[in-house]
Amino acid sequence: MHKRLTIPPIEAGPARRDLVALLGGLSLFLSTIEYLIPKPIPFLRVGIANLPILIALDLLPSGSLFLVVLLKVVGQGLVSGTLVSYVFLFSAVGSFASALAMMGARRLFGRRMSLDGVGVLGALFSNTAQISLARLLIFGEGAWLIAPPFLSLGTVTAALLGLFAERFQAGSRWLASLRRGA
Amino acid sequence: MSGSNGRRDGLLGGAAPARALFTAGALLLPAFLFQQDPFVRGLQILLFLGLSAASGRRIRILQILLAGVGIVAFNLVIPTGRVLLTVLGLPVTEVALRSGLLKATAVIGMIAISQFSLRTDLEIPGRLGGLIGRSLFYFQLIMSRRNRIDRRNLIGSIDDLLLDLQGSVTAAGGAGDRTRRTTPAGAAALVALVAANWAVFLYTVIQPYPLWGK
Repeated sequence: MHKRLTIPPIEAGPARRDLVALLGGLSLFLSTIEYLIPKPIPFLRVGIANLPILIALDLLPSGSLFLVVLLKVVGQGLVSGTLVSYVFLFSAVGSFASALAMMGARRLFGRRMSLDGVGVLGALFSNTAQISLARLLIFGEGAWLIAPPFLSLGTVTAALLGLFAERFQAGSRWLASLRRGA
Repeated sequence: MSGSNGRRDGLLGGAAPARALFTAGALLLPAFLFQQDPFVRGLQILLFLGLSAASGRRIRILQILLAGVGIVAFNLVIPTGRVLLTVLGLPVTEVALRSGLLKATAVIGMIAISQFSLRTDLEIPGRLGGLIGRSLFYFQLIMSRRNRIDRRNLIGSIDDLLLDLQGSVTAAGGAGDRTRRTTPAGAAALVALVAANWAVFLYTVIQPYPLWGK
């Protein structure tokens, strides 16, 4: 059997709700930072706003984690002014696909798969979902032309972010305090 | 908790409860973000900064200008559109410039709107509403303390910030202020503010780029 997570999730109640809000606020802040980075392709994101979701994988149950993703997606839409555009749709589809993949991998493999691996898997799911949507809605068959750079860059940035999250998780006093309170 | 976050004094604070201010802010956001003329956006930002000051917030002009210039410069790195001029051998292109200005004004404007429209005693109805309000307030707290994030010690400084923030909304929000009512003057000011911004936005839908030029 695979090794189960050893950290119990934060119990339901005000503490968990507050944590979801804090991670949502952090996502919104990181979305603001991300928004300032110029992009050669419109939907391309470095993905730093996913950091709170990677951190939350071991802290929150599925429902609360999806709430963080929802706060992140809406926040990104607000920050970039794309809330009622197709870019928002791409962002939502990519974010939820990525969250599902990361959550599945974490629940299935536990800590045998590092956050680098989880992040890369999430990026692959997110980018594949977005390219498929682009093929369906906008670009047609031509969408596959952007697939190689899109997937390559997504993999590299996700691996870097996963490494950062792994380090953060290992040395964070904030996470340690949350675990003590769990 | 920084002093600026919990202030309720000042012109707007005394005339309207948190929910009325939040509603006004929420209604102003689309009229601001969907505005495509950078000059009109600039004027809106001046208005929002004035409102923030009227709410008792401290306005840091130099910080705002530096952030704006940085964002525009960053966006000029990828040249798009016709070349307007060349600075130190680098082309300043029209589309990249407009994109940079829109991004810079969006970020500064959103901060200004959130500063006067979000207060610690805000209570949005419903569980999801409460969560969004709380999340937006955490965002505001992080923005106000972003200078504490040290690029040389990214993990440590973000960790310190999160330790500092955890539970601070509960500590700050506390009792709330359900008794405060919008005064007639406050209500009229908020309605006029929202209506004026939407009127300008709708005008620019019919007559795009009135100040920037097509």
